[in-house]
Amino acid sequence: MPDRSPDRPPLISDFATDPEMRDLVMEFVAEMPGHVRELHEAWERHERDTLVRLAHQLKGCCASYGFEPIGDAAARLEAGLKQATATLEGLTREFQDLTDLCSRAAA
Amino acid sequence: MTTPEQAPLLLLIDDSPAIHRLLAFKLKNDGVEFLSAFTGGEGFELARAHQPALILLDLNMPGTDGFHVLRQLKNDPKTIEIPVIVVTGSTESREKVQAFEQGAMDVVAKPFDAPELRARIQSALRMTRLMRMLEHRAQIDGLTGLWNRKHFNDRLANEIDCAARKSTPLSLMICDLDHFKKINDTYGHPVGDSILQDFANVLTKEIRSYDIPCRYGGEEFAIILPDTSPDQALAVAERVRAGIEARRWANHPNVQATASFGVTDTPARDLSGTEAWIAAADRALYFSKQNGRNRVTHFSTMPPVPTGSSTTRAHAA
Repeated sequence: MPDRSPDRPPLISDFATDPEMRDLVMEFVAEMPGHVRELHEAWERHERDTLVRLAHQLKGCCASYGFEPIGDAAARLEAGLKQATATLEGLTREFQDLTDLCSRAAA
Repeated sequence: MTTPEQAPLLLLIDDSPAIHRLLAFKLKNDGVEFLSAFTGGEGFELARAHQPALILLDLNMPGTDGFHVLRQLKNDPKTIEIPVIVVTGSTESREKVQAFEQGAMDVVAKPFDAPELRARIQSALRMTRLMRMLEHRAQIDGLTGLWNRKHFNDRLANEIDCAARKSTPLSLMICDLDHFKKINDTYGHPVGDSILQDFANVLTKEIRSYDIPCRYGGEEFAIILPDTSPDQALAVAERVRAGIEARRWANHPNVQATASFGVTDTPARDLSGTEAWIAAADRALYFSKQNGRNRVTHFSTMPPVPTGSSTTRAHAA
């Protein structure tokens, strides 16, 4: 059994019931672990530009695949990364929010 | 230019591969072809190289300001005519207004509503087709369907430059229907008009596909003959002359229309402007009129002009 705690339910795409979108959403979800890995790598290496790029891409496409909360979280992280006054605590929280939501994405 | 038969090419400039997949899928039944660019710079280059029918441009791309790409597209003569639909995640009206001000044809919000996007794409394509049609019509003579004088002036200047650059021959032919005023006065203007239309038909039938036939005004026509030697130009003119002479009209068996022709190639060593070309062809035409009409004269075979002779624009009908 996959280890999924009750407070981390899967995040289902708004288009999960749209038969036309099914294959596309599944492909999109299948890419999520890769995005999460890239986000973690960039975070650990303090690669701010890479983080901005990754967050930006997620912001731009998640809503179109029915994952608006992920898009919103990505937008918050991108905005935070671009803000001179952002705190490490704030950024860390935004980063964790995003990666957490990404890992919960399901078709 | 995209013709209606081929699927319009749509260039999508967006940094997210997932968006490219989604759009290609959503528009798969809309009869459009897709071209993908993931950065603004790449998009600009693809637009120049492939001349898409429409560009979908994401305004917010990391590393590139979408407005910068839009400005580039609208400042380059090769891409300025391509309609751009701007895609933005922002709901701010300031940004939308700015996009329109910089030449965007439309603005759509992300996430896409597929039916709306589809409708906007079709609308932009339709609008572009109509604009191109109007542009084309503005250069066409309404009565004969030939190019009009404005187009002739632009094209002649163009072809003169082109011939000089490529060192190819170029010929110009001007012709004028003989005694056209008399035909109009005797049979009425509707008959005169139909003779003009018929002459245009004979003309388009007898010239080559790459010649440029124009109605210069009234009963006068000008034909640009690219890559054509004097001998070849004379042969074309002679075909047109014989064609109109042989033409008969069922309703007006007594009408006989003929035309006089003046042909030139490089008219003067020191003057290569359009005026020199037109003046030379005109002088040859005048010579045809003075020597019995219904004939072809080449400028280079004319006897030398007596000194002090003035302009020849007002030649006999």
